[in-house]
Amino acid sequence: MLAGSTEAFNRLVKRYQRPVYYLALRMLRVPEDADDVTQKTFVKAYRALAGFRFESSFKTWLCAIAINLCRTELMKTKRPTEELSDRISDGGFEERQAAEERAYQKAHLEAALERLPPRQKEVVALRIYQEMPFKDIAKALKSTETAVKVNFHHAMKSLRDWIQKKVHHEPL
Amino acid sequence: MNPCDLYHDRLAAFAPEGEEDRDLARHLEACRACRAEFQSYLALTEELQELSLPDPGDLYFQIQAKAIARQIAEEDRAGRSQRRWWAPSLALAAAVVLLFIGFSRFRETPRISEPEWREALQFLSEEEGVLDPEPGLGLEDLSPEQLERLATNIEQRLQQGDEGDLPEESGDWDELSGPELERLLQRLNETSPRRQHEA
Repeated sequence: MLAGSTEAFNRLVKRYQRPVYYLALRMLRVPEDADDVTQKTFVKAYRALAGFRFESSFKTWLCAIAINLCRTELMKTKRPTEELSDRISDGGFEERQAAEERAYQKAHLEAALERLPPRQKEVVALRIYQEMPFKDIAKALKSTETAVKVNFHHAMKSLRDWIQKKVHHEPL
Repeated sequence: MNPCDLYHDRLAAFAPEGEEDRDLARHLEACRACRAEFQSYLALTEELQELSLPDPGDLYFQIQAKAIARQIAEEDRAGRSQRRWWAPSLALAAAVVLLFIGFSRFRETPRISEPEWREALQFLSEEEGVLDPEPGLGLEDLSPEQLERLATNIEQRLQQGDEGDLPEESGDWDELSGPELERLLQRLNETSPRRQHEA
């Protein structure tokens, strides 16, 4: 039985805490909340470890727990949408123009990512930042591979469309 | 209908290194417009990957790991100190449920388990090259039930000296000789719990 072996579990924590933390941070954007969710994820996983049936990888299972906790956290607190103008100053000195342009593009993409519907954002976070195969994402989100791919497609299409607007510096 | 319409919705999720969508891979080789669109998704993926998050550093994660271990230990201590008055009732309820599940499973007809099925398939493919497990023969797609049905048919065929057709899932098995079919049956009888039970 896996449960009860705290030392072995600590090794699992050390191995997977970064992916879980970054997934939570990607979802919640607030480091303190991501830290909280990471800790809760591992405590919850420890309690449920005996029921882990190896139907998915341990990482997939952890991500599923973390995503659920992120959803709860997101429901608890209505997060203010960060305006693009908060990150990019309206003015601009000529010597800083190139740097500002890069920062603008990056901020624009981050803001676009923030605008995605929750499920699409989850799929993008797991696919792009955790590099999980679609079948594992489907397991983590208790969905089907086809549905996950459709969500990913819609997310990428929306992001691409929004990014293309950046050429004209249209506000998001 | 534009043939590209069939592929548009699959472009973003397509992984060139994967072989799961060969149809789309072939289309991309032939269609410049779809290839350009696919490249735009690849570029977007790279841009997204470059959106880095602040790294809190090793020390942060060491402290976090300790906090997790401490939290688990505290909850363990708190859990042990509580009198669990509900535990006997819960155990009784769990026992009833387990008994019911066990009884239901016992009533089910035994089936060839997945590992046994794989083992049988491996045996079949290695048996003097009698059966080729390459895609196209369809063997790897057979369910345990199909395999069982096939074995029953082979059995009948051997017993009756019947030269009639085997079921659809048999693929190239129709060309197997009598001794080859007997070896296959012998192995199936050894691996199938149902057949062992009947024996």
